[in-house]
Amino acid sequence: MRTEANTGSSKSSGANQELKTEELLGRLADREVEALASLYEDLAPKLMGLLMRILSARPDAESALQEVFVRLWKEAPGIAQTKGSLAAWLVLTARHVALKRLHAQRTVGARPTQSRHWQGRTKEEKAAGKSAVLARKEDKPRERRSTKGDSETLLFLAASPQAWMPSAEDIALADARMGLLQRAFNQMPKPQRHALELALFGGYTEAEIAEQLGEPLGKVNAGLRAAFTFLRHRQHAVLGTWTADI
Amino acid sequence: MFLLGTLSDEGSRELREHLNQGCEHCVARVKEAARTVYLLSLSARPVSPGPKAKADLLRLLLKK
Repeated sequence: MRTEANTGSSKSSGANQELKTEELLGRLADREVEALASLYEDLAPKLMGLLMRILSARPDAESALQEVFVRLWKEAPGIAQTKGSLAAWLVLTARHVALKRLHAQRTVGARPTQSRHWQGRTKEEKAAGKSAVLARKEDKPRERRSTKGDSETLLFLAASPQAWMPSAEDIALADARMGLLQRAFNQMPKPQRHALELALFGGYTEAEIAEQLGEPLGKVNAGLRAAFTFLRHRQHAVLGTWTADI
Repeated sequence: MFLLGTLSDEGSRELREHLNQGCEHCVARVKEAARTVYLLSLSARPVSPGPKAKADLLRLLLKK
């Protein structure tokens, strides 16, 4: 995870980036190809990093990246109406597009090739990636699930953005404090983080993670919930958004 | 767990239906979870797409 210091200039650049992104979304909704090209310049490397982490092979990741931007082109008018964060839409849609492809690869028994990017990963990324690759090698037919759920989640993300997209202001604030948030996330207990990364980048269900780790389903379920509670508390502390139900 | 994708297909379906009914509390929690997944996803190190990727995308869109 990134650990750079969160300086004043990085705070304002993160917030400015989000505001610029939202302005480009308005132009995109008006069918300006130049706006999409500008968004691509700004956001494609972040999305590509995520897609490579999930899919490993560069051709697969570039194909998924293209699918994400084609979806954006088609769905921009609806996204603009929600006043939600375009950056969040892109990242979550990219993740689901990649996981759908990963599950399809597992269903037909194909195994993703190891990335050339592997050598360039951080120690934490290598550890998490290694776990995911080891887990993939242990895939058995009875562990595989259909891609129906992935397709339905993608349809939901596209059809009901108002039901899940954080506001642009919310993401701008989080971007401005990204360094602090990533440092706080790094404090998560290792077993919880391990299970969380198998879900986040490997696309495994709780039952699949339990089988991969050789642990009871209840323990994995509790661990993932504890991980999300930990992250939620850290975000409230860093972003100053404590709520009554904490 | 829904946005993370660890819920069963059945659990995801039930939650989608619930969210579509407009439960404000659950929508707020899902938006918060979306921010968490967003932040976690960005822990992957950025990678530049290949030099042809952008041109291929724009060519595809202009054809449509």
